[in-house]
Amino acid sequence: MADCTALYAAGFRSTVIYAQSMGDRHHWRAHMLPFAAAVSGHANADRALFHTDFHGVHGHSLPREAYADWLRAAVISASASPADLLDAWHSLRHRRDAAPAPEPRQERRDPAAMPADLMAASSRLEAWLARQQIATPVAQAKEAA
Amino acid sequence: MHNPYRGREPRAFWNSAVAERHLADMADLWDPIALHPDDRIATAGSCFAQHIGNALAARGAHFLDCEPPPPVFADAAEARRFGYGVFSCRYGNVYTARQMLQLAQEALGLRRPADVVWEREGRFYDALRPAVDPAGHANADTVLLARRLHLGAVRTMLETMDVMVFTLGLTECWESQVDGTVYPTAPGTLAGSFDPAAHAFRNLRHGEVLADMAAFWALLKEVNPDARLLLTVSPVPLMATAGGGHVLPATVYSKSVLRAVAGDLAADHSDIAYFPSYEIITGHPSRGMFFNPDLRTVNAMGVDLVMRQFFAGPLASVFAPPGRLAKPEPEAICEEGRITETL
Repeated sequence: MADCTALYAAGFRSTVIYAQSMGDRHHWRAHMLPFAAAVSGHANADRALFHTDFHGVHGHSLPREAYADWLRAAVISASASPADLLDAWHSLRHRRDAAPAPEPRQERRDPAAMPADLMAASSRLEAWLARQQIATPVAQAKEAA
Repeated sequence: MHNPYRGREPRAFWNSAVAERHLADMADLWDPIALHPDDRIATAGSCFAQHIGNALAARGAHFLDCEPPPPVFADAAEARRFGYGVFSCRYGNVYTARQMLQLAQEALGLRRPADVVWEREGRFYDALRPAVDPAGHANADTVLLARRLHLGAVRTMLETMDVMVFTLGLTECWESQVDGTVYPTAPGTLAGSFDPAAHAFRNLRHGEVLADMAAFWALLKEVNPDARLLLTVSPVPLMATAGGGHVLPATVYSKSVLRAVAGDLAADHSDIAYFPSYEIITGHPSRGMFFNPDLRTVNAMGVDLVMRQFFAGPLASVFAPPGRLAKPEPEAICEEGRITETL
């Protein structure tokens, strides 16, 4: 595994998207800032895109959606140029922000608050189990016979 | 002068086997067991065992399902939420060796746990697999009936399987003070209520886990002399420890005990093998890259590499990789991850 800071300090031609949580102060200080310093003097420094954001977690954690749009953008972007990547990412983010917010997570397992489909499946399972109760003595009698 | 290391395979040396190779190119990590497509393979254990079962099934192995879902579910995904199709029987996660032993004893009529039904807000749950009925049951009798059917399926599995893949997950557990029954989850988490007079915390030691596994193995061989066992250790750290200390050393202790037991059993029995998925995921050559940002759950890249190593050598020709259009692997179901829900 390579030391990316040393590697990129020696020069680079690729395009870099660096996603860093602002809540992860260790990696902010020990990884991102040295990497930014390492690429800052190079002619291709504008090919390094730094995206920092805070997602509510203080520590080494980045939700999937924080980098998934960048991965999608890399796939659909017209080219690997920073401008095309930024345009692709912006259009993905705009589409996601326009979508309705997901339902809040169910924190408690209150059976009364169980999703209706789950309760319905549970009722069907109970009815099936009740039929097994009736069937079992008959089956046992057959086995005994 | 004779050097006993001379002539050993490259995999015996750190430099040639690890340091000078990319992680993805490591080879010969294990000696694959002999598996035939007709071998009936059963799975049990912590959530990581599901990955091996799913991968085997996807490659055409005979995955043993002794407790198939009744025709009441909309689809396989809904059946999985009720514990069907997750393992070879509907036991949910079997985290400890003692839980596996006690389940086998009960299925074979050698044990009758005192406290089987837990209540929560007017619904009733199987204390020994509380997660398989997400909404519980309307009464305790239905729980007991479902358990009776389940135990019949477990007995069938024990008697008919050819190979059992068992993933050791935890050493920490909660047990009944009445009869020593261990529960997969602490009372009061998914269901039931914690009572210090009735429930006790235990952190099973190496000797205890080894004895439990040896007893389970002896029992299995009694009813199924040709059965084989493939052991793995779950790389997923503890969600929480009840031992009083920090969860990191508690995790390393638990996993070390389980790893040592698995190694001891594999060394002592020709029909027990160990597959080092634990080392692949948690070993420092991977630099933690196979964990999600929570540093606990294993990411898809890690599972893929584990499965590539599993199907190395002769197994690769027996079990062809699934095609590009194969169904994606269902998400693993891990009950332990829910113990902090009700804090």
